[in-house]
Amino acid sequence: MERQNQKTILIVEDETLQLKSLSDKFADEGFRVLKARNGEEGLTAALKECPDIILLDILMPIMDGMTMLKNLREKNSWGKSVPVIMLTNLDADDEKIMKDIVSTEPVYYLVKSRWSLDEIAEKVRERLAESQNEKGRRI
Amino acid sequence: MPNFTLRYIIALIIIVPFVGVSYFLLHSGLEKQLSDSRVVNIAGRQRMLSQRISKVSLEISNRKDEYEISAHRKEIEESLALWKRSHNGLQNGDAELGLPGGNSETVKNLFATIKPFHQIMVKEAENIIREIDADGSNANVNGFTSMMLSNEAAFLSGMDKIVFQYDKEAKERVENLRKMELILLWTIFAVLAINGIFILRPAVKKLKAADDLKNEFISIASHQLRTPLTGIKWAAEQIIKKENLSGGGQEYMGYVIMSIKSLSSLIDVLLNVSRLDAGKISVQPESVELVGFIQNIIDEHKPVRDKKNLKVSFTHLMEKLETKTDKSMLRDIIQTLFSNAMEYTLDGGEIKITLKENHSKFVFIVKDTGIGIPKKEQGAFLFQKFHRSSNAKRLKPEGFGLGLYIAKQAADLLRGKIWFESEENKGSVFYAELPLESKAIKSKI
Repeated sequence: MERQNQKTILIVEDETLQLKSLSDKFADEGFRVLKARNGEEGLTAALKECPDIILLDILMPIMDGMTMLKNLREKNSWGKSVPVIMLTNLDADDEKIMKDIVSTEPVYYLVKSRWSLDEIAEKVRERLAESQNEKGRRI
Repeated sequence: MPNFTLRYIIALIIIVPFVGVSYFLLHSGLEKQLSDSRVVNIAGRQRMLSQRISKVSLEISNRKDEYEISAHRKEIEESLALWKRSHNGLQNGDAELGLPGGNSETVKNLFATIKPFHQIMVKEAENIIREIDADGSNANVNGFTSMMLSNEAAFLSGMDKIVFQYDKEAKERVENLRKMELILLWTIFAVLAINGIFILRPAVKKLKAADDLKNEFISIASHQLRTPLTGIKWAAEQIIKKENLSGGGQEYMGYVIMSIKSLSSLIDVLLNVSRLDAGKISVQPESVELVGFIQNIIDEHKPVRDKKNLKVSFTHLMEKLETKTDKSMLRDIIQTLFSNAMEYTLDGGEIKITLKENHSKFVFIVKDTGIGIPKKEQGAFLFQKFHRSSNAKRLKPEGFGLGLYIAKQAADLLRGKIWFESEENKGSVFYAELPLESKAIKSKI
């Protein structure tokens, strides 16, 4: 039962310290944590493991977060609906990012430097609950 | 890169002669008009003088007593002198009478036509005076008078033509002056337009480009600063939570996190300013519960409050207050006013925060017992970018003077107001009145 309830989170982040802090934090919170260091790795891991939620950095080498998100959404029905939280240090008012994010719903995004790990964990749980409700409604 | 100084100097070199020439033209035009009106006037007077001379001559012919004759003699002599002088002045100029001389060919010809009649009239008038001087009351001037009268009509009609001609020429000159004025006006317009196109517009463009570059730079630099800072912050949060730190270690990490937060909010401030300056700001209203939101911000500042031993109270009559507003702008306003109060209140002071609902608006009030603002420095300029009051600078030299600027801009964007009351060394009260529901505004860019 305990095992079944355990949620899997995929963290895609190129910055070592941020990736370590996030993955340790979510491991502490009882998540199964998958790590990826760029969009390409992230996409492979996501399609293989089908995590419950994805934390996705935007600016990354090889494949950036926006591209990975687009690929994920176009891939299959699971990819279309998995909750994604975009992490960025760019600004909320960067119109281009806003537009891209809106066109590839459902996602949530947050400016990293303003959020503590606790707040991010809370946001993740919130999104998970929301997506659970949506699934329930759909069935 | 265009050299604006050079262009400006060229523009000046173009404009200065224009202004000089136009001044000269207008000035001489006005002078000419003045002398024209004098000429016309005096030419008209010549008619009158000749008529008076004839009239007086006639009266002398019908003489009565000696006294009358001597009065008439005097009158005829004076009139004759003026008449002769003016006649000469009109043709050859007379500075004292304000006559320029220098007539057109037409006028010269007209003067030539009346010359014999004028000469005869002058001669006869002189004869009458001489006769009176010789014979007194017995003088017989009938011959001279009739000779004079028979020439008067021709002189008058010639003089009429001269006056008419003078008038016509003056009118032509005024017409020309008007045309010149018009040309001058258009030339000046053209020069101004050229100035605008070749100097002002590129200069403004260049300034705008420099400003955009500056904002872009701040934006990129801030982003680059945020990335490592985020890693440090999260790592610090993990350390303080997970590692079994000693009391000293805990304290150090607490300060590390506090410093990171202040650095992080400074970056936010810089980004905010650059976005405000670039007009790259949008209002995105979302649901915010105010009481909790404000309480959160107050709690965030607990370390500073404890360190300075400040008494902070938060009064709100309602338990909850739901609003729809832009969260980050609301935060900018509340955070600025609250942290300013903490900053500029000395240790052990008191800060009272009040939240009031007022129809479709709410008012957020922060009252402190801080250093206040000197009376001379109280004004709208307090909300200007980089402005700091003198006593604030003394207390905390390292501030930026951006907080109130951002708060004011945010309040404006939310269609609210910010104002204050303050007394130096007693404290300040800052008010922010904002609508409960803000309208969305799309970014300009």
